[in-house]
Amino acid sequence: MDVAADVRQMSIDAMEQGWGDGLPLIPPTEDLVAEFVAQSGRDGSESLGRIPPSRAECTVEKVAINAVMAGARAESMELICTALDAMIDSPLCLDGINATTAAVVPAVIVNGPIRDRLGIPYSYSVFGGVACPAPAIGRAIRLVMRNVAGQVPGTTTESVFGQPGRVTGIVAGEWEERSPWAPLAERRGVSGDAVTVYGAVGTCNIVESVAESGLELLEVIGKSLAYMGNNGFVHGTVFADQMVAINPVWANQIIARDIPSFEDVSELLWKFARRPLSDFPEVVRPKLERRGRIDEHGNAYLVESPDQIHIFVCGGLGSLHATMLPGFSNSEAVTRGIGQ
Amino acid sequence: MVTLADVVSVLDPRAEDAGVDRGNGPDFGPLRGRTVGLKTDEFWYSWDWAAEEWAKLLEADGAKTVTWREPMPQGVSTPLSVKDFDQFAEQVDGIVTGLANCGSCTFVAVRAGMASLDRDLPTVFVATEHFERLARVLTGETGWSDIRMTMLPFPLEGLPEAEVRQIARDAYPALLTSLGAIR
Repeated sequence: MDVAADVRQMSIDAMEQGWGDGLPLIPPTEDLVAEFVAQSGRDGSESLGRIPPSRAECTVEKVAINAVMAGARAESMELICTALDAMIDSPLCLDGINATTAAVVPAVIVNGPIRDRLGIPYSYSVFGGVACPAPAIGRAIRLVMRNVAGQVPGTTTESVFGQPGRVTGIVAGEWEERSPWAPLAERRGVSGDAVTVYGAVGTCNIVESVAESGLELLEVIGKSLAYMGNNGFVHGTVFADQMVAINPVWANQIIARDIPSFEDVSELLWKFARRPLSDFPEVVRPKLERRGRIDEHGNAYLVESPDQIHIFVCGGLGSLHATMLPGFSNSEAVTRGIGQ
Repeated sequence: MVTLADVVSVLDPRAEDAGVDRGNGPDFGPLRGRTVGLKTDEFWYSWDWAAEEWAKLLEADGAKTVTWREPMPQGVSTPLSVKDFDQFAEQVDGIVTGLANCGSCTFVAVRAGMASLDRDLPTVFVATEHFERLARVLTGETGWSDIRMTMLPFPLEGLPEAEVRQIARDAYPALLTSLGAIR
């Protein structure tokens, strides 16, 4: 099709035709798209699968078109395709994520040397604010959801509030070199370049300035995660993975100092991520009891096992904060190797 | 004035239109001696109550009923737990699936309904009024352009159990009409 060569006019026209997101779009010309397809290492006609809610074939060429429009770099195509691979027909449960009333968006956590090759942030302001390619990568994935998956607010997605991540995605790296633990993807069975996709209902800060020990910090983080409106406590939710980003200072100089084993850290966080059943309104309690996740002290626990809370290290060196990314009902994190 | 130099040729970022129309499946026909399947899940007590009321009324009209509570999705997006669904579908002559009453539960209800239609079973999708549109969009995008639906008021949550059961009883004639069932 022919469009105005001017980005401003093309973006207006695209909005009118229903394939814009409100931000300026780069015209996806045939030569640009061909360059992006070539960089993906895949054939343009290759399908990554049928993507909900439209169940349309998500071909590499369609991904490339949307990646061009988003302003992503061609060399990020391999990561973008792998992330979509991990989202489609996987335990992430993209059907639910793309239709739900919740604000959930698939976050993409990146491990391996590809972080530096592509400039994925993992230090200061890792979840937003760094001038880097991550927002364009996230936006490419979001445009695929809009234009190929057909995810349109109020029509095919009932998301009551949405969130900023539904425009530019949530794309962040792990600061592996500053982590006392093995990288997130490696702990999930994939070494080297990898993405972990995860249904995040948002990012929320956890601040603590008095705690002196690893145990105390894990208590603050765990109890923060177990807030009453977390999807993990919703009736009808069998499970809802959770994710926590811990700053390098807390991770190395306090938590790992006091609790050397990652397995112990994970177990403790899981034990803290619960709250007394008596905290909940009376009408809710039988529903939580029916689900069966009540411990011997009468606490409702957020997730079934420690491995359902995904921990990784990132963020600046000013310490004081963690970020929780609460999860979505019946959605599991999925990890895939890039170029493997 | 726009000149040729001001125009650039671009590729379409949108999905191809499937362009199929699969209709809405067959009528159920006579109730007597035949079996209606009621598909529930873990989301809504209100739907449990409505399904219980409809089961009683269907049986009073001479039908048999089988209720299947679908286990919550264990992550894999599609298809639904096929083995369990197959066992359910093999026992019945038509399926009433619900409840489309939120985003993801609409997907779960619709997924089972489309699996039922794929087996050429008479199928009714039950939704609360607000979620009718989403159910129709999700089914329409796979070619089921005119599904049979029975609507319940929105919101149902927060209403007393007795009131929800009465709403279900009141909606029973509409259910039979949607199903194409004959008393």
